[in-house]
Amino acid sequence: MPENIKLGCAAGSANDAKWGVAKEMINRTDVEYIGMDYLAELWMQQLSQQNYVVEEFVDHLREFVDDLIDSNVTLITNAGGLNPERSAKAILEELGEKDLRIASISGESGDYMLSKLPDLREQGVEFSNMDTGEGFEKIEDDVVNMVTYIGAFPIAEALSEDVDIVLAGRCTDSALYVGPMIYEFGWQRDDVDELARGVIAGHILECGPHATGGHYEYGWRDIDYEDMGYPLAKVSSNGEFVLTKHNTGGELNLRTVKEQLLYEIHDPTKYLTPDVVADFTTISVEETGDQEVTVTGGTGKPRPDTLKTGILYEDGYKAETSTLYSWPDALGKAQKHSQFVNQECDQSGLEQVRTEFLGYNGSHVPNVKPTDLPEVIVRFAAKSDDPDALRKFISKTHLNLRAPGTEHNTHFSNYEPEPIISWWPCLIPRDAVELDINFHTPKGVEH
Amino acid sequence: MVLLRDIAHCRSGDKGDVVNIGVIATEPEYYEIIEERVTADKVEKHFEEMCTGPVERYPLPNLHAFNYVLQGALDGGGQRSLRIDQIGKGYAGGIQSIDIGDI
Repeated sequence: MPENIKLGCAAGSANDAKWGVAKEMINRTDVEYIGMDYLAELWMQQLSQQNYVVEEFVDHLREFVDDLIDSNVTLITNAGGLNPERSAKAILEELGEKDLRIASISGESGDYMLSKLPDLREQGVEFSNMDTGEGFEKIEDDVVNMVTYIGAFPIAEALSEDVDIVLAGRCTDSALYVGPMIYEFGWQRDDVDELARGVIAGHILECGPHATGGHYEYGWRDIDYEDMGYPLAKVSSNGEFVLTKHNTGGELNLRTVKEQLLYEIHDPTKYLTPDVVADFTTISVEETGDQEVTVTGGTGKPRPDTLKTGILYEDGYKAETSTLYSWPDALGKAQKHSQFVNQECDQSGLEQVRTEFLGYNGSHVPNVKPTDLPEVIVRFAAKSDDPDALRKFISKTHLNLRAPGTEHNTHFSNYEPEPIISWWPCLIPRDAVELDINFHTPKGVEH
Repeated sequence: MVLLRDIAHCRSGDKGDVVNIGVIATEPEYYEIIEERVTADKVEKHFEEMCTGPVERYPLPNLHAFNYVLQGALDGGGQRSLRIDQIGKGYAGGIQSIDIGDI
């Protein structure tokens, strides 16, 4: 067993994967494992309308696939989207005769899960919304897909064969990093403290530059975006770890790490994952050098009996439009416009209408309300099951020549209604998921 | 007047219709001030026009930080939300405008 392993995050989201960080990490650092995250709740919704494959990943991989093959680095990613097995085949076809070996982990989403839905319902699994408590009947007829968050043990299993890429679908983001730790250090299910520390390391790494000065509220002025460093972790066999970054830009310090630690968590004493329940309040975080932070301690409790599942369902349409008003009295003009729209325009057939004044209240800053603004955009957004009702409404919101100094079609307006695929979070028993790991090369598939 | 932004830095994110805001004291001595003055109730009231609530607060004394969890914060959340800030990244800025009085 090694004393430690070195991991890096080369992408914290599909939109973050375009910067070529994977190639830099492979060639310029001593990492053994690279993680790339392509999925988010919003992305799952977009994927459900596409081909199930994260198409961008193929373009990104093309740029560094030869470096990856020539190196000892293993890439672990959830770019398999809603069908990792099909995605693995598509990737190999796209890339031609590369000496590339991909392990796909399938079974937690797509047709695999949808086919089990009726049986699970019959067995008494409720699928009620874990946030709102609403019953599943509300969306039963509108389901388009479902995805269950899986953990890191299947990734560790896939690593036991010599592969260049582990292609998962909807595993937890941190599992991309905990998988190699389990494989290298031989952690078992009851090594809860080690697993919890691994999850915390993975949580810091998973969003890439979020830990190294990106999205940084405290010191954003000093951040060099050009040579942005992405986070690296040297993890010890007990799960404690040292964080650094791969490039000269960005910033890694106590504050950037703390911000990321708190990102998208609920109860910090019970951070639920499929493998362990991690306690973030028992770690100690210290700056141990320039651009170096060390995390020690950390405890865990045994994994939950259920797995989080998101059900994707058709939820009507939405459309939006906006109008720019200039000083003087920009806000007053925009408010008069909104009064007209909300009092006089036909809103029949609409489920919800929202009015925002961008430049004034678009990003929720309740105690900061200047009134003499140089300009304001009034934005209307509406939701309906009937796209024609939306088209009619949007058209009426354009005052055109009736109002002072308006420019009704600001560039980011989207008049045409777009279908909404919504997300229904719920819990299912963990044994409802049966995973299928396959090994793909240009020559074929081994099961 | 001292605002939360003068003694803390913040980050927000979403899960469904829930937004969480991590609030981190810029100096350890500010932790107790936040504990006393930036209660869950205060945050709920601060965002009353934006968020149906309730708001819960979780302490992380080891990080000199608090985590605020806001239910019903995104008009349904994610793609369903009609907000321009549909994933609630702006909440981290919004909370910093809380007036915490003299220190």
